[in-house]
Amino acid sequence: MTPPGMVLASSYDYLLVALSVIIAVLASYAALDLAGRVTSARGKARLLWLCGGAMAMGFGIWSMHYIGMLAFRLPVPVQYDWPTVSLSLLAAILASAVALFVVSRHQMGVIRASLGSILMGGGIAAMHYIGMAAMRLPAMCRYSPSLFLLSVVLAIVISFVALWLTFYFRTETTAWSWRKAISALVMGAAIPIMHYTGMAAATFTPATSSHQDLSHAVNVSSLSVVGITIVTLMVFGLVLLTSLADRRFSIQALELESSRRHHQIIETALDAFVEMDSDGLITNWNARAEITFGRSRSDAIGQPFSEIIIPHQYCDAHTQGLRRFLATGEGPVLNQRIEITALHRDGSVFPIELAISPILWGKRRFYAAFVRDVTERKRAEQELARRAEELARSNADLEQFAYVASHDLQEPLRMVASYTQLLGRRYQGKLDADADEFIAFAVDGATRMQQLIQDLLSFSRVTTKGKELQLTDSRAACDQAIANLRAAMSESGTVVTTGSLPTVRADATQLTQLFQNLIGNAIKYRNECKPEVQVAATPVEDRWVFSVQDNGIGIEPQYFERIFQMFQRLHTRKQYTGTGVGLAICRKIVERHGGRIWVESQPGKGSAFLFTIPRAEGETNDFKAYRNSAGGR
Amino acid sequence: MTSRPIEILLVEDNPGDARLTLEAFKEAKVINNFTVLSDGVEALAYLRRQGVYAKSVQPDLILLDLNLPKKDGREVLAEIKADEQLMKTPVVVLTTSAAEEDIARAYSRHANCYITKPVDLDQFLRVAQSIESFWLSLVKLPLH
Repeated sequence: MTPPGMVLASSYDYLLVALSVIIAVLASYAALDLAGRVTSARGKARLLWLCGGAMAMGFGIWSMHYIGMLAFRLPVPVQYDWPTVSLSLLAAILASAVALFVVSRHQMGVIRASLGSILMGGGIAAMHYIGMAAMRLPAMCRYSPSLFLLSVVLAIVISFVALWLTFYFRTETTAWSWRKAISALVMGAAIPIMHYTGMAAATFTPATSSHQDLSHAVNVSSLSVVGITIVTLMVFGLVLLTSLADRRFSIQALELESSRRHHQIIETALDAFVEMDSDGLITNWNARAEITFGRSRSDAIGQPFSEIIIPHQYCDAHTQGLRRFLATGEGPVLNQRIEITALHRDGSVFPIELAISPILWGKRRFYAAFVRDVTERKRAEQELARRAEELARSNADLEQFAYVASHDLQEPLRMVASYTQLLGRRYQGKLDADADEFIAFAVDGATRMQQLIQDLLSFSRVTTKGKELQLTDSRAACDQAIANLRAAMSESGTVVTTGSLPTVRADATQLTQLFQNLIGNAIKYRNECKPEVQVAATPVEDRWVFSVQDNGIGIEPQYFERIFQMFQRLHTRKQYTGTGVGLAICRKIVERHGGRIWVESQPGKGSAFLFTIPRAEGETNDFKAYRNSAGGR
Repeated sequence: MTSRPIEILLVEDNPGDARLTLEAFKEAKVINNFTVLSDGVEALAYLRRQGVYAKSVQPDLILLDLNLPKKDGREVLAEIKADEQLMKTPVVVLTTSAAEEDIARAYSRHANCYITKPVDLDQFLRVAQSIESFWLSLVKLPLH
């Protein structure tokens, strides 16, 4: 007997140590695999996987631990109290359950991971020290407090690392992967580290009294080591096998579900779906195809697609292409939407939109065709085209009417105006005061009507007498407009400054009229101060934006639209003369040139009339020249 | 040159216009003898002294509208200027048309001048005055 107070010499059976490490690695691998299963399982299956997994993993950790214990040799006989041993197994299973529960959540934050690792690490440590307490031997066991603490901390840290690893690799879908294997190795190496630290914390001294409770103590023989190992390996094997089978089944179930879903999508589609084999024979025909072509599935399947849907009398290019494609399997009809006339079972024909895509399935080729009945759309398109044509015709009629009416009205009106004027000239003051007033009103009305008709005529001439658009120097058009306005300009002291103006595609006469109307307005609607007008143009994307800016009376925002309408005026004739046609003509001219006109203004400060004209194709050089001159200034 | 009144032939189908022209010349205080005819055929018959116009007086100046019934002013102009007897008589085209092609065609048929009738009476009166002061006062006309 060793004297009391002496430390018992201990040694390790290294074979068993190695076995314990191998079991730890296997347990870790099983744990990683199980975590994936628990995550992907739902409902009852999930609970089952969680319980089964926790038991397998707990059993693995526990058996690593006990083999580790058995590897520890003391010079005294060691027995184990089996109820305590069972309690340690329970601790291992609970720790595993916590771990699996934590890693199978959808998210894992630091707090959750920390809590989980404290519980899991605590559980493993508890299992270890409960297992140590199960030892029945004629010796006293003491623990070094610092090593004891280190072993608990290691258990928690290892658990933390293990949880992170498991959480991030749980989605690995394959049963075997290198990443999983490496993390299993890390975890598997870490668990024995904790265990052997815990063992190092214990020192055994011979017991002074030998009254131990040996009522439930059992001996552990080499045979039971083999037993524990085999049972453990079998449990792991079972777990991995079950996991593999489950994975297979769930993938198959997924595939089956997805294929059913696709079938359902095809069946409920609002487009007809037709599948053909490489000979152009129909192999699939959905519900909408039955409606569209008036043929049941059984009626269509096995029939040649071309004969079912193509009317024999139609031989247009697309039909030929389709025939050729069905004969040869290639041609321009593939992979694009084509419009053809199709045949209904009742003999009627209707327009369809057809898209055929070729599919290579292994070595077999087949074709998927989507067909849409476009009868309604075609009808709508035709209706739209008809309406557009009608509108264009009625517009042309109206313009012609305006031109003819104003032209023919001029003649009698000239008579009325001339003779009332003559009447006024000859008999002013010779009749009575009433007669003078009446004549004045008649003259005024006739003169105004003449002006209106003149304006109406020039408005309708924008389109009826418009010339072809040609490359035109807008600067020259502007200069001409300024020249035409010379009298009004010198009378009002107007100064017009013109920037660089580009060459555009335009009707020169109309462009001049446009500038003349806008500059003329700037002069007419002036303030007390001298009118200053700036004409400029800037390129914006594909167009030129021209501006005619003045310092006149300005326009209130609510009238920005109205001023461009026919006969719309903002002032009485006493304030400013005019018929309200000038800006309507401007808009018509700009629109005829493919542009847009608008106004920006502040009442009292002035207005800027802006209009766009598309940049001409052949004016790129001018554009560069414009840029250079603009930059040089 | 004698002090006989100047003979003017006005070819104009619209009586209102014809009267207005007469009134305008009256306002210009010119004493003239006006003959007014309303279509192209009549005008040429008058100038050539055919039929009822056998004793017509040859005009010193012809005021010709372009839009006339039966034979329009453009043809009348062409025939006058092709006729050796008539070609020396000055023809003033007085019309509402301002169309460029009408102007060009009138001059290429040797019109002596082309005037667009102004819509405004005052301006029309000024036109009459101008015709009088130029063609009937300033210009030396050939003798018949």
